[in-house]
Amino acid sequence: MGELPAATIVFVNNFPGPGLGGGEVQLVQLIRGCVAAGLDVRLVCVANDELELEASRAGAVVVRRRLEPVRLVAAARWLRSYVTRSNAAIVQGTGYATNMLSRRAGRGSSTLVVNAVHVEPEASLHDGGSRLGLRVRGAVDCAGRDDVDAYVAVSVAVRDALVAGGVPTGDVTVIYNGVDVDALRDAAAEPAPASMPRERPLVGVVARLEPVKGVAQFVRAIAELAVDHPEARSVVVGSGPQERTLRDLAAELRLEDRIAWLGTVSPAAPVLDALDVVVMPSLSEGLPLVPLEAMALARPVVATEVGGLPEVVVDGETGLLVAPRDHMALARAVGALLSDPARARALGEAGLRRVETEFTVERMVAGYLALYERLLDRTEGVA
Amino acid sequence: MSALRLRVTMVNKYYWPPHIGGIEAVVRHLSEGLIEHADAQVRALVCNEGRERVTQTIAGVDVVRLSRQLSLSSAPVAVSLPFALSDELCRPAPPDVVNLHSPYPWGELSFLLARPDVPSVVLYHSDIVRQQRLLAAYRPFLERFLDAVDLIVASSPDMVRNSKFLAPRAEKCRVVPFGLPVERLSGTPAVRRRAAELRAAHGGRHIVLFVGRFVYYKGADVLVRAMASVDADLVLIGRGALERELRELAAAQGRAASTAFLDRQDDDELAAWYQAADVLCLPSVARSEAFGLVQIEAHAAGTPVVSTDLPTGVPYANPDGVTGLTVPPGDAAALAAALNRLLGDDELRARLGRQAQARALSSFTIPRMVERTLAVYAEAIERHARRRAQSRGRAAAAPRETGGKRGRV
Repeated sequence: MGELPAATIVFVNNFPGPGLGGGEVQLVQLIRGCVAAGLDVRLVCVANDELELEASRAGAVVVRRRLEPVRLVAAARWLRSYVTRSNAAIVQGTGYATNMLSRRAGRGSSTLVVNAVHVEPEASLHDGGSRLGLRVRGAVDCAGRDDVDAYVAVSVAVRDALVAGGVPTGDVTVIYNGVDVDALRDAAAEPAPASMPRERPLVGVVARLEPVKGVAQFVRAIAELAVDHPEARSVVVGSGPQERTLRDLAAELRLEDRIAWLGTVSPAAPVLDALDVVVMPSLSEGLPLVPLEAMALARPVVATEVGGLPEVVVDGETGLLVAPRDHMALARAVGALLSDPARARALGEAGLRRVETEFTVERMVAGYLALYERLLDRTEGVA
Repeated sequence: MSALRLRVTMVNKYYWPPHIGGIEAVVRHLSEGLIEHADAQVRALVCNEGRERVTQTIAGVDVVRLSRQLSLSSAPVAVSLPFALSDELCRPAPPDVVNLHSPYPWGELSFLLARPDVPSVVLYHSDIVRQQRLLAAYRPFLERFLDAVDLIVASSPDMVRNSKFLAPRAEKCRVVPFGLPVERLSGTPAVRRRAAELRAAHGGRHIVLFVGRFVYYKGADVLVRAMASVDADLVLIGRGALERELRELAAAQGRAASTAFLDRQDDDELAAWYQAADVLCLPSVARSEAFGLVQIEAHAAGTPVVSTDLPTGVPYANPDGVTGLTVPPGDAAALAAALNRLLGDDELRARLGRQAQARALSSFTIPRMVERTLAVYAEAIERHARRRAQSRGRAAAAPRETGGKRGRV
């Protein structure tokens, strides 16, 4: 790869926390990579202490700014002036709202606009969003499309969804998320929380407790699993708005002593490392980090066949794929792996090899840097 | 592991870079020294020079620049500072000690408003000298602030003795001399080569050096007047509002040709000037000059200093007859005599220079400042715990005393 010219890049993020989401973990890694490549990196974000600190330590100058939807117009005006003042070559949004902001900031200026898309557009429908809301967002999205110089999709599935929505194929680059295998191994060596069940085998899910993550299917699958594998125990790591509902469901199914609710565990690596099977029961996904982390720790993954998951989990090779919303199939797949530990281990090992070749942080960073280089070359050619 | 690392939060007006000043240099050297020599985690809560809140990690120090709403008498005001101070204690990894830097009226007021229950130390850099009217209004708050913190750090015993705010509180004052990157200033081969070039450019004439801002209390005008009867070149490095007056004064003395004004220099070039000079002069005329760090910088380069015997840390930094000479402030004739004495006596100059360098390299190093600061932090943590236990004791006793008022809401 050639040298990147010294240039300023402004990332925009509006994840309010607490903590970092998967996209923010990637963003911090990307910032570190950009700084190492000699770019001058700024991050404009909403108040999120942990993100601000992590990004700052990764080498960015972090500017806190209110970017709530009700302030979009004022925020866009400010961002435009900030991007101009900083003489930024690139402004990059990291989600729907910040993508819209970045477009307005870059409109009519020489600043290049990159929009990273981490989720399939219809993901919101699973979390109580309406079809009308989705159409409105789609329409707003279309309107600002001319201002975007490049889209980044985190998976082929996300790219296809963008193209289906009218974005020209050539404008979209697929860059997979990446994980740091060595760092994960180090994190996994830390002690797991005390509330972790001691019984084995153990299956588990790590997710925000929101409908789109499909944890209800997991709970139902655990009830089914108890028939053939009464010895199996399970854990749910994470918290969120659906927690009450899910725990009620578990109580109704009399799973009190089969499921341990661990709440948020950060880092989750020690828990993942202790699981015999990691389950991803999602209804929609961009390119989630949990199965990548599980594979990096050589754990087999049972996942639903949605979004970018089939790109991560190769059916029968690094794990098993099942249809979404089918807890019976989920229970069968998990049961199959519990009955054949040798196969489960082989799938886990294959998962590790797959992560090491396809889903590393280095690869993710290199993908973005190559994109930036291409974009900057193009504008230099014009000038 | 990380749970055992000492966590310190610094509170100051600004952070360098980009904002440079004597206090900012100390804050940065102390912060980085705490990381390097004590593996501490250091955050700095300071003001941004603009309206945004900016976080930036500089050489391992997490610098949070709060948005500045206005500036009063050159003191920035960040409305959010009291909240930021309270929030510090709610962080997942709260500080073990808060180290404030004075004078910074808004910082001190914010501390009083927030009253964070955390061991606190203030590094008292100097008294407020010039803004007397501000001080009159501000004095009660400053007094309460100094009573509220656990310990006060001053850079010299003279500072404690001569400050009317510190003297009554001498019991809780501790002296920690400033630390500087003295090894760097003592001269690398490249710096020495550059120093030889600078000397050659002055054709063997003696060089008297001044380093500082051209502001009233630095007394550069006294030096320019003294130079009328000193046979040497004068080099002034700095910038400031009084530069034009100083140039005119030099011209009026007929010394325009032997007086050079240079803008701020980078670290290596400045080190070369300290090496090249025969003597550094710090002619300060007011108590705003609390210590005169440039004296130690010159000492580290083996250059003696002529300074004034102000009732601050200035003579402590440059003891008369040991590392240089001192004269009464504002006395151009005495200053000229001291300069002539030093420039006319190669043996004396060499001896004072040697002694100055030895003292700088032993007493004013960053590791030493860090070590002594850590001792102050430890004591502050202990005092805070004791004070807290006492007030809890009082609180436990209180309901009985005020029992009659209970139930009145």
